[in-house]
Amino acid sequence: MAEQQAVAPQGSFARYFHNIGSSLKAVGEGMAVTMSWMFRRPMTVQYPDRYDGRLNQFMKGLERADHGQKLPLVYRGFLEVDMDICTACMACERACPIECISITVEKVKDARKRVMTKFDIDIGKCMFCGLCVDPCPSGALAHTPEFEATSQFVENLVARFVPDPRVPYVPFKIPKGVDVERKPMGSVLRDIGFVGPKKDAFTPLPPFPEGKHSFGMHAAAAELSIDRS
Amino acid sequence: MLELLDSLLAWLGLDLGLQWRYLIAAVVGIILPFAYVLVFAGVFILLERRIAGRMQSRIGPNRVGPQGMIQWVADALKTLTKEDLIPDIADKPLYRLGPLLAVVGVVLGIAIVPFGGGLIGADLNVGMLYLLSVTSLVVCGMLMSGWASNSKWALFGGLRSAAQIVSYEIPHAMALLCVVMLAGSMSMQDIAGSQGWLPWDWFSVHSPMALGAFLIYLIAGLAEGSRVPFDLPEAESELVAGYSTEYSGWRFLLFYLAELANVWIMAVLGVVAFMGGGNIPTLGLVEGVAPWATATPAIISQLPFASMEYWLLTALSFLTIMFKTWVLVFIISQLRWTLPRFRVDQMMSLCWKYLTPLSFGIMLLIMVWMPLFPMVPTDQLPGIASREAIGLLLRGATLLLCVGAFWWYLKRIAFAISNARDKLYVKFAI
Repeated sequence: MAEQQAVAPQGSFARYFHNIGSSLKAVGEGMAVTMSWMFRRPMTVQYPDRYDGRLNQFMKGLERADHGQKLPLVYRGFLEVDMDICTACMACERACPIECISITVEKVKDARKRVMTKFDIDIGKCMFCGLCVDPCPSGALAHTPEFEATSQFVENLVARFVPDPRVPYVPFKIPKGVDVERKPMGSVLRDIGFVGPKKDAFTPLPPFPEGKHSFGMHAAAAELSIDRS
Repeated sequence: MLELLDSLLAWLGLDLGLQWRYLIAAVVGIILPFAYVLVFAGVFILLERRIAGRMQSRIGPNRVGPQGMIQWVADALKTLTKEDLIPDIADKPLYRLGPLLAVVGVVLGIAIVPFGGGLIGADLNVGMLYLLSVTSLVVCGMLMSGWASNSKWALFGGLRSAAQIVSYEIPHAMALLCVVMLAGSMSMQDIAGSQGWLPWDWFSVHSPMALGAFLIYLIAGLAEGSRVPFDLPEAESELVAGYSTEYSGWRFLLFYLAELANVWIMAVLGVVAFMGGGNIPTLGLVEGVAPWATATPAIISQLPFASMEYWLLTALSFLTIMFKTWVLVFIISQLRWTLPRFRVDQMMSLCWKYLTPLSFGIMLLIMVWMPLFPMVPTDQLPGIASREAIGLLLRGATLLLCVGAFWWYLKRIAFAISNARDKLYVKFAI
């Protein structure tokens, strides 16, 4: 420390006046600091009505020139599943403590194949704990840095990674010794219209067909669509 | 108020009986200052919240009205619509009386507060004494509501406020006593009128001791008004809300109003006693007085009522006193976001070990100083004696000390800004 610390005087009389002087100086220093903040722009982003694109920059992880902030890499935003590498192991569904993930795996008749006809994550229920991400064997399930999906209807907060049950997904088999490529973070959520410009916050989504689906009738269509990778 | 009303009635050519004039003066004299205090409290709370926002890198309330300007109306209406709860085991008459006493104690003080020129509720010849006495009612109200709430937090708050306000009344009164000695009067208009409009004619720079008395007055005034850093009676992290814990609805609002009105009384009293009040130069508008001489309240009151000069000088004086008061109010508000809260023992040691002995010493020194170096108004400068010249030099030195302290303050602000990590924007409004 090059700067020398001021030493309080020893005598009680001197210390008395030293206290007065130092307290006055300290109050002055403190007031100068608070006053200097009157000349700075507030940190607040007046989201969403004075949205100036800063949040998009946060999401992309770009540095803001003036505040030097970005979302951290471990930021836990919305969950996202890359269905092309999902193994249908359902470990995430079991791990979820509040049961916001619901997966339906069905067998296609005559084809001896399992297909996923439903992979819903209720973001409205999700508490972003990350317990589902840990057991995922292929890394298909992950937290994205996305955090904007406001909607007028709470049903729209269900992210449906199988948009149409008649076009099911075939589970992925993890090849040995090969690193699994994952789609870019957030791209799936944007493709299904959960976030991003395609998002329509003012119309309710059509209800998802409930119950088991019989793929006897649609087996051919299912077989066709399976090869779409 | 009565003098003003008499002038107004004479100007209008009306002749009313004394009882009617008293009645009108009383009603107007009650309603006008109270309405002013209500508006002041609203504007002050809004300003304080905006300042707090800027000092904490936030924006503050800006949604209700343009720039959040009527947020205070919304807050007040919301609080007024809340249910007025009275605890079942409370001492009900005292519980009801407490907030009323607190607000009455403050509002009574407004009677003698000058608004510039001849605008004053009642220019009592014991004005200062009256003010110090009636503001003690606030302690009664706080202690009463703390006791009557039958809650330990409220009781602690009430006791703390009693201990604090009773202690700090001594340095507060001693600092004001210095001014009373310098002015030779307890009347607020006389105190304001015995200073000049120029900063070196103010009592705060009369001598280094008077400057000390001003600082003591400010510190003790903060403590009297239970403002940060002396907000021990309502320390929300220790006592839920102190004496107002059990209150809701309009009774809670009364406590709030009393606190905010107290800030204004403290600021305007500081301005009148130490910062020259609403004194302005006469600007050649008064017959037989030099244009640079001070237009004291007495001079303005002697002008013919409702003449052009009268209104011009009164308005200028009003604006002057308002400007100075808001500067002090801003400093009080800024201190709230600068300083942490004192511990009880620190608060007591500050009062009894520092402020009280210092204020006694300052009073004695000023007693000695006054006959040695009499105060000369600036417009009587030619032909002063040597001792008066020494007094003038020391006054100038005190003013230089103030200017130097302000310069240091500006340098520290510049230092804090130039060492900021963030990019800075000199932009006040968002």
